[in-house]
Order: sequence, then structure tokens, then C-alpha cells
Amino acid sequence: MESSTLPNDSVISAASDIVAVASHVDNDHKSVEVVENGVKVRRCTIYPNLKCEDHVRTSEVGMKYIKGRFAAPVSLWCDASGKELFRKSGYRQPDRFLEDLKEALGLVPGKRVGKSDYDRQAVPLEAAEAALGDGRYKAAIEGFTAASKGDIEPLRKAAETGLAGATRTGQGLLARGRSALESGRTDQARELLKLVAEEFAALDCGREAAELLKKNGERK
Amino acid sequence: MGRFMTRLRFAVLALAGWGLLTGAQQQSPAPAASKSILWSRTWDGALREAKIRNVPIYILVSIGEG
Repeated sequence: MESSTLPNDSVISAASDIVAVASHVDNDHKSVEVVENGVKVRRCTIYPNLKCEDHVRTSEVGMKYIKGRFAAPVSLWCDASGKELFRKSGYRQPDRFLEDLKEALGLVPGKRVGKSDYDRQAVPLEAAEAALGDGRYKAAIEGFTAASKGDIEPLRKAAETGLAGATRTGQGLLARGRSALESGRTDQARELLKLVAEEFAALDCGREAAELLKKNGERK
Repeated sequence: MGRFMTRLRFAVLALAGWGLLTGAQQQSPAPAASKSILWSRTWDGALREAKIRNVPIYILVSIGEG
């Protein structure tokens, strides 16, 4: 994309009315280390809110629409279900990009949900989904709980589903810990119960695990 | 008088040089990763957001140093 377009203030502002996906085929550019929320993270120099791994993962998206050889860059505009509306080849200067964006908005009529309203619920949900994938249950439960309190129903349902999944995992681990305790495998039991007590502290299973640990410790 | 003028010229040139230097520093470009539009981390996330918000999806298909 035209290097003056992506960092353009008008483009950035208008882009809050769309969803943008980078289908960047190769990875021959640099990433930089930045501090976000007090944590050092690596970010792509072309797509600054992403890690390069993110746009490598979404690189295949463009190939769903483009078959065979093509001249990059290509701008694909789709409706909310992902059906292609139109495409533009070549670099798009900010004014042309804004025209394209306006045209796409005109082709997707109806009531919209604002970016900030969406993000208020979606950001904790997405963080929770990522945390769950990494086995960070405490962070996942916090995110799912926060997202389940929002007004947007599909996000609330996704958060409730995620929370139910985390609860089942916690209950399963608690059952294994209890079983290990009953069969005298004390070390294994303590390890499992400690994990549940720490990572699932906000749930009933976490509180039960903490109680069992306490009783087991008292017995010793 | 001649020596005074020479010193004055030198001082003016030094100030101008300093001004150019500091000005150049202030105008140096921001790091490449400073700002841009926000990109979705996943395709599924993009579809979910677009459907819920009822907004178009923009896909930039690019190669190399954009």
C-alpha cells in the first residue's frame, strides 16, 4: 500500500468504520520492540498493531479471493459476511482510499455498532480466547467474565461459552486432584489442586481446590 | 570594528546552524511502527467483528515492503 496512506490521520480515523485485514504474503521486513501496557512486545513495522506472526497467519485470506498471478498490492472490499463487493489494483493514495471506503460503506447499509462500543467487549473476549489457547486460565476467566457483562449478545454468548469451557477444565482438574488425594498420590494431588486454586480462583472449583489444599495441609 | 563584525557573523552562523540542527531533529520522521489503521489479528475475528458491527471488510493483499 502507498506508504503515505496507512499512517494518514484521515485514513486512520475513517478506518474505524471498517474492519481491516492484512494479507501480507511474505515476511521480509523488520519488527520492532515496543512497550505496551508496561510489557515489551515485538510489533511489525508495516502493521504496527500486529506481530508479524499475525499477518503471516492472515496472509492466506487474500488467496480466498485471488487465484493465480496478480499484481500487488490489491485492495479487496467485502461486505460484512466476507462476500467481495469490489477490488482495486495498485497503490491507493489517501483520497482514493477514502473514496473506496465510502463506496464500500454505501454498499453495506443498515444500523452499525461503533468501534469503541464493540472493542469494550471484544478486546477482553479476544484476550481471554488467546489466554485460554496459551493455558493461562486466570487471565482467560477474567477476560470472559468482563466480556460476559457487555450488551452485545453474540459477544456475551461467546464469553459465556468460553467461561463454561474454562469451568469444565477447572472441574476436570479438580476431580483429578481429588482422585489423586484419595488414592494417596499426595504430591500429584497437591500439584493439581494448587494449579486449580491459583488459576481458577474466581470459580467454585478454584475455591474448592483451595479448601482441599488447606485441609490436606492441616492433616500433614 | 572589523574583528567585532567577524565575531558577530560567526555567532549568527553558529545560531543558525544550531537552529537547523535542532529543527531537523524535531522534524525527523517518527518510527515506522508509530501509527497506522488497526488490523485484525485473525480472519475469524475480522468476520465476527464485521458481522456484529455491520461494516465492510477491507483486505489489503500485499507483498514486500508495502
